[in-house]
Amino acid sequence: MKVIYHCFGGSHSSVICAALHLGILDKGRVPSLEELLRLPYFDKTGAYDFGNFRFMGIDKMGNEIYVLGKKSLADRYTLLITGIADILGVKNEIMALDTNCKVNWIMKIGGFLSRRVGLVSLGRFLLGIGIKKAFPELVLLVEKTEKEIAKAEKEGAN
Amino acid sequence: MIVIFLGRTGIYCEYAASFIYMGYEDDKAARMAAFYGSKSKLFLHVPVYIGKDHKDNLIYTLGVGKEVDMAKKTIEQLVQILGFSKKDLLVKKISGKGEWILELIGRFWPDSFLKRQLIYFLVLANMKNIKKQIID
Repeated sequence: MKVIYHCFGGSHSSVICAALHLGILDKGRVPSLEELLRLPYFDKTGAYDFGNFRFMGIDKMGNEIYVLGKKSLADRYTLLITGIADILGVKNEIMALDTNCKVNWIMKIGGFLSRRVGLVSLGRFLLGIGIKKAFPELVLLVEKTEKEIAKAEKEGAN
Repeated sequence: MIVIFLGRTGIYCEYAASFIYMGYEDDKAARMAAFYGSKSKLFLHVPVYIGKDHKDNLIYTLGVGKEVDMAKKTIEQLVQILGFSKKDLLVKKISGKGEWILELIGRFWPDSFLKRQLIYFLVLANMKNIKKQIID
């Protein structure tokens, strides 16, 4: 299965969720900013990255994990992705998750300052604070996703 | 093969492009676009099945709001990720002059004969442009 975590820029919450899914980040504790900055694509994307899929890795079950930035299209991008998969006849092979709904205002301001304005240090400082608050929600989203994938794969096997 | 006509609203110029692609004359295509468009929702973000052309290609339209280029990029990459190619799914970007007027009409004007007539004329005025985009 292809799992796609998408957020505004494909730079913060989607990358964190993908990293949690892949086991790169520990679900049991909030990562430090240094750990987050070591993640591929974390706070490193530009305007040209919008709409581009970026491969993050393969999880323990063999599912491919991607991240994607989709600006302000919110969950409509989930509709778009699953709609295309549906008309190709492979809707069961894809799962798209909008992580933007778990992003708080501090993260949004931090991301904006870092990626759009160029105030990287201040932006990352705020991101660190925002991610600390949002982390439990992101973990829950990933755990829910993993359960849904396991359920879908079990149903597919039967 | 699947052909998707991708645009902002997904219903006016995109419907016209589909009907032209399926072999309808300009006038008929514009009338049908106005009729079906006035009864459809804008910016659905889900492909809408229109019909088949003479080669049995499946024709769809898709409205994604202002981020058409971004959506086109995503769809083309998604097709490859899923193991398909341009031979399986082709995306054609369709846009029209004065599309913002069509958008306003679609959003705020309830369905009526006058609305459909106005859409018909606006789509017909864009027909040359639409046909050029189908060929490109």
